[in-house]
Amino acid sequence: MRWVTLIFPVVAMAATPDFRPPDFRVERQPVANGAELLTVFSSLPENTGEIPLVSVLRDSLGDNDPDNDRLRYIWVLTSARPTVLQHAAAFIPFFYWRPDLGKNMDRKPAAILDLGNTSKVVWNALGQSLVQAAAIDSNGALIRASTRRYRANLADQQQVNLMEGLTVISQLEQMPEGKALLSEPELLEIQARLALAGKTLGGLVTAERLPEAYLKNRVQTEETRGHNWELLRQRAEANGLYFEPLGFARSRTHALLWIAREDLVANGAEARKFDGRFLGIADPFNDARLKNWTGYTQTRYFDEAGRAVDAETPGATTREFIPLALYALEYPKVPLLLADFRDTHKPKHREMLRMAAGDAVSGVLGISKWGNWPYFAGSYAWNFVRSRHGDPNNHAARLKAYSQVRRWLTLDGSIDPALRAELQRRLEILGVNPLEESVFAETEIAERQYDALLRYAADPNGLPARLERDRNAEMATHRHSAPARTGLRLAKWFSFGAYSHREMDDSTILAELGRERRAERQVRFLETVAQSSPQPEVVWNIAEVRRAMNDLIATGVPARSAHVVSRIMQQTSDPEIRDLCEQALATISGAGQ
Amino acid sequence: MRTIALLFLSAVLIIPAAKSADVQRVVILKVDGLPDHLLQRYVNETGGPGREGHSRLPWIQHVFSQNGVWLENFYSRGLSLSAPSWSLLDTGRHLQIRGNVEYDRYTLRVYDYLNFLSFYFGYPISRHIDMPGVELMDEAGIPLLIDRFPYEQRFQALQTLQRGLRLHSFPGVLKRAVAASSPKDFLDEWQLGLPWVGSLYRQTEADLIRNLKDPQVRYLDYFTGDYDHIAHLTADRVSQLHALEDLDALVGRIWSAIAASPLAAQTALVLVSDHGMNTSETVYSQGFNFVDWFNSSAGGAHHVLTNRHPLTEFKLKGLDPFVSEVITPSPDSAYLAGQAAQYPTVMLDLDGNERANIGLRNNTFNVVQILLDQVIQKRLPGTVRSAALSALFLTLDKVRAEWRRDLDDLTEELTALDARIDAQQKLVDAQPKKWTKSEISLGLDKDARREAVRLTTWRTERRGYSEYATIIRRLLALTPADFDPGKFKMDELIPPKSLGPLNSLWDLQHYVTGRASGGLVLSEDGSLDWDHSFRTIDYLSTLRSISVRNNVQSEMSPQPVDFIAVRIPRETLAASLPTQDQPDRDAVLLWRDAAHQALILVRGGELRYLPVGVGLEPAAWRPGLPLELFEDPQLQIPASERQSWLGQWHDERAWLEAVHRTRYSNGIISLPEELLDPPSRMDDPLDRYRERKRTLRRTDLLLLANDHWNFNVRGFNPGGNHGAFFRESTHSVLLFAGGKDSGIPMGLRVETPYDSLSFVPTILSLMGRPEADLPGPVIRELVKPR
Repeated sequence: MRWVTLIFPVVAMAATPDFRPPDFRVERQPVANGAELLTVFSSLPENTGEIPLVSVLRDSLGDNDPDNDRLRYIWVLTSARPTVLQHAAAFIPFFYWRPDLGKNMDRKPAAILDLGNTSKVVWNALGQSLVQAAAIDSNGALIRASTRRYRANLADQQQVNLMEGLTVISQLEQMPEGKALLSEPELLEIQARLALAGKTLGGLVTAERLPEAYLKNRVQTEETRGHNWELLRQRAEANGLYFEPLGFARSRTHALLWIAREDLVANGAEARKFDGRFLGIADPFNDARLKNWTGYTQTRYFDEAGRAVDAETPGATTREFIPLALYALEYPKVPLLLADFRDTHKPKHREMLRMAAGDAVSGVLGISKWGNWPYFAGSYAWNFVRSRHGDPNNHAARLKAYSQVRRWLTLDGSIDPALRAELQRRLEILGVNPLEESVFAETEIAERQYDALLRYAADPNGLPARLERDRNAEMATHRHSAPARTGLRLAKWFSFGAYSHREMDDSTILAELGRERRAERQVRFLETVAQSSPQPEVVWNIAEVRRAMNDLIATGVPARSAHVVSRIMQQTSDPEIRDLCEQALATISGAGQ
Repeated sequence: MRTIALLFLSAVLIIPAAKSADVQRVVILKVDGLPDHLLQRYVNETGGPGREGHSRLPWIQHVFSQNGVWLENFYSRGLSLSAPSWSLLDTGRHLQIRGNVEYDRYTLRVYDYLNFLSFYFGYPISRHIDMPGVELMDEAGIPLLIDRFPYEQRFQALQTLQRGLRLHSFPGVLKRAVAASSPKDFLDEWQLGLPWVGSLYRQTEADLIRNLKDPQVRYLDYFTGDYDHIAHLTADRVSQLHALEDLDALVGRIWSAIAASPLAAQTALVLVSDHGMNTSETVYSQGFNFVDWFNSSAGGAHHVLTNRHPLTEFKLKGLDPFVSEVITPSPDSAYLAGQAAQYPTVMLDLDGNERANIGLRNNTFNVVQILLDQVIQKRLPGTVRSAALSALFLTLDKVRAEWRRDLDDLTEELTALDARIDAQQKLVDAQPKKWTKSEISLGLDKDARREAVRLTTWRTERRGYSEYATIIRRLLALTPADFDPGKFKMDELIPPKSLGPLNSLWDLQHYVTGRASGGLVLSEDGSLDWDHSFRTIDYLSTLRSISVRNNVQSEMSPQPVDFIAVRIPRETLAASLPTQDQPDRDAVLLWRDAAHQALILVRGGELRYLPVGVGLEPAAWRPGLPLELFEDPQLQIPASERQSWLGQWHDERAWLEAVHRTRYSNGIISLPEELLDPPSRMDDPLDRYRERKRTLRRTDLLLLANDHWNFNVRGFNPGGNHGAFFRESTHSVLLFAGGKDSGIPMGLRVETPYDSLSFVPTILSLMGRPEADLPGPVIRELVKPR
């Protein structure tokens, strides 16, 4: 996977001096038929064991050559397939709760993404939207509202799973032991694909643009974190509150606001001015609930300059802190309020109101943005103005922020256990999707889902068989055009499975796929070389370029590589590479004749 | 005989240089905010798998490190801030521009040097043809480096000191933003975000490479603000390095294009940055909002003038690309409630962020307005009214002579300006209305438009100053005998939208922000009790003592302000300093607290740093003084000699060599550059008028932020900032490389420290066009005696 070499050396050095790595480990399990299952485990706070979080299937073709490996499926183990009752509840319009409707913990987990075929999800989603608009929406408000709500719940659950996967994988790039099992290019590919999968057409982005997608996502995420960190800190300062960022060192993903009980008392009759803009909470200085607060508090110590110090510091003064609110820092533009300690249901009610408004308009009234231009314009203008004023009206981003903070809270051992339990309880209330799992059941779900996955991997008719079918399909993409592949698929459907096209026998397919994958990899590497510099020898280790060219010639130069080979021949002043380019071009023209 | 001698001297100095000029063409890559330490670090790192043995920034290493000249100690001079720093680099002259925005104190006319959008969007319809910084340089008679080349011989990219605009590039920009080679590409672009800004840079690059093919073009430049933009927003290593890798690739493409161009052997490629960047992967830069602070009672409850909306991204008004003047009213204003639009009393230039230039309305204006308000509008008891009237005229009497003199001078200058306006009107009237293609290709149409802009500007200035003068004359003409409160409105006596003359140090330490809570109070003798009638603030100690509770990073001080710099008139020092320490111009007071103050004195070409006490009398050296020279381990003076060395006058070269590696780098040179003017005597009223405008753009206080603090209010800059004198912020980049006949050395690293003033003279010398009157030294390692 040398085509991402422009990026991954950078990622390799991303750790910072104050880096406090999450307590993760990666375990490798071989899978029959030449593949392996890589599972990320995290230890749980207070040494209460560990939890499997994410599994990835790597199709290695049964050899030790990393150049022909391909990543396939990603499973998020903390959520199981919904039960029938959960599905049924998801159909109910305006039902924004998460009752305990059972769990399918022992069923084979569903992969959240197939890295070998990311476009499938896009076409499925577009197909569903088309059917919804053309065939379902016209059948009355009840059917329209319930099917739309169900699809929205499914999509939200998928989005939550993608973000959970991304949250976990993004931490692996900072762990040397993690990188030993999942290489940096692989980590980059997974992260880019998980981030893109959350976009409507993201699955269609070509593999060549994944480094750019990764970088854009990373830059945007880092900028958002810093921006919200500062916004919240300054708002806390302006309002006489205390700001505390949380999360692992490089992932200041969330923050708490506190108030000192002494400030409440000190205010007395003359209350301090409070500007709740961007904070979304009520004035704490005039709140009787805080004056009589009996909930969670922390005692902290400060020196004369107001710096937080240890209790033993001479002259330290104590202050009793009351938590006010928890915010996610990765929501675009403003910190997103996730938990309000005085009004536990407030964030949920806001979320429900937003969803109800959307369901009423699109589900009950049947007004679609795409079919009603005045509504589209009005909605766009309204959302633009609201967002300009800091209203968190991006549903996908809210889901992302929510799922990310939920995940970190489960794993972050640096938070006081009592506070963590308080926060988790409040986040639990925030759940509005009947398909979602309770955070308190996740450990059990994850363990049993992992067991189920291992059983699936060990079953010759399970994962190994699926792998074989995938390889067959992959081979078909190399040997047949898109229309021909469609024809083969139709033949299977119309024969009710009696006819199933097989490219070649198992041993041949492994060798052929290995050759195709290596050639593809070298072509991408050479494309990167050609695009990156007008003179490859200034930027690249020329021995590597020669090796790639030799490998390409050895595996059979694909015709599509003629352009990149010609370009490198023009750019380079290295005579050996020029000779190799000539040989490669001669191979192509020989094959053409 | 004298003429012959001069001609001979010219022949000796200039002609041989011109004959032996090896560089025939210069290509300058201007990179905003690129810090040298980061560039060096990444150039020295290896590129990783597939790139073993190659640098992470391979082209910069190949072109400049291996085949060119690397200045290891190149510094911005003055504030490490874009508009002033680029103005020094583009002119080679001492500072005319001292902030990213400046306001005329009398009229609040704005000089918004970084308002690109306003310039671009307004260009087709407005009268302005150059960016404001260029207009200012033209007015001051200071040519840019680009002006040394005829119009047809130059290619200039979009930048801070932009002369004219090439509108024909914009369709190309649009095309690049939306065009894709295939539907698949388009889909990719759509999903990843259409590259609007990137397309602007790519189009400029394409235009530059096209111009390289034309041997007639001898000056080309390219400006990028990508790194600066990213570094302000995030300190993430991956994000910043990505911007540097883009720059590296650009160097590769341009170097290759030069190699294929007609003048390759005689072309010099120069990479220069205006300042560095104080950024750390482990620290978020924390902001402190001075708009809110000055709005608050603690800050004086001022109506605050800025050039952009605070928290621009959260306002619909923030979308306005033409905004240059925003007044944020104070809800707590003591005596100007509801009058924010007429009477903003503090002006802030916060851009750049590690420092703030603060202009406060003249303190006398405040006292007079409060007293007039009381006398005109409030029903005061007779004795209090009488005392207030006395106090009013006493206050006016204190400034009367000085202000009258100023008005008389202004009148004389405006009379001279009138004559100039008449002449300019004739010039503009004589301009052709239509232009031929060949005239346009020589830029003559733009020259004509420039003259018309100048005329309009002068007229606007004249009107503004006349209105100010009229109101001040009316104020000074008041006498107790004929004072009739009903006769006047406030805006006829106190000029609206004006800060008036600069404040003295005493004023800044006794600044009146309103009436005292008990109102006007009489002293025992029946006169106004000044101490108890007014609410005052000592801005030096108040600003410095600001401390935050939310300081969650242990590396940072809870105090946002490091120290404050104020200009002290030369006359003030006559009594406190011994004769041998008297400067030849005003001095700079550096104030950290009452026990840690110092003066920077300038005399001829020499500087002196003098620790002082409360009364500005000389004091002993000790740690903790502003700039922290005494205790800095990087000061290139042995510890045993420090006290003696630091207690003496030294020229700039000696200071630069001694201090450039210290924490505050060349602050001792930059502060006088920013705050002082050389002594001058001007007889021509128009020269005095120019000097007046320069003086009126001055502010009262320069606040320098503590490490990793910033004063940005437009948005948030947690990634990094610049503006102060921290070495990370001032240490910028200057690299040269040339074709085989250019005479530029290969693989040379220059350790001698230089600053921005050396840039233009070095370029001109390399091109065989040395100019003896430029103030900065030529980089001698680069330009060998010919």
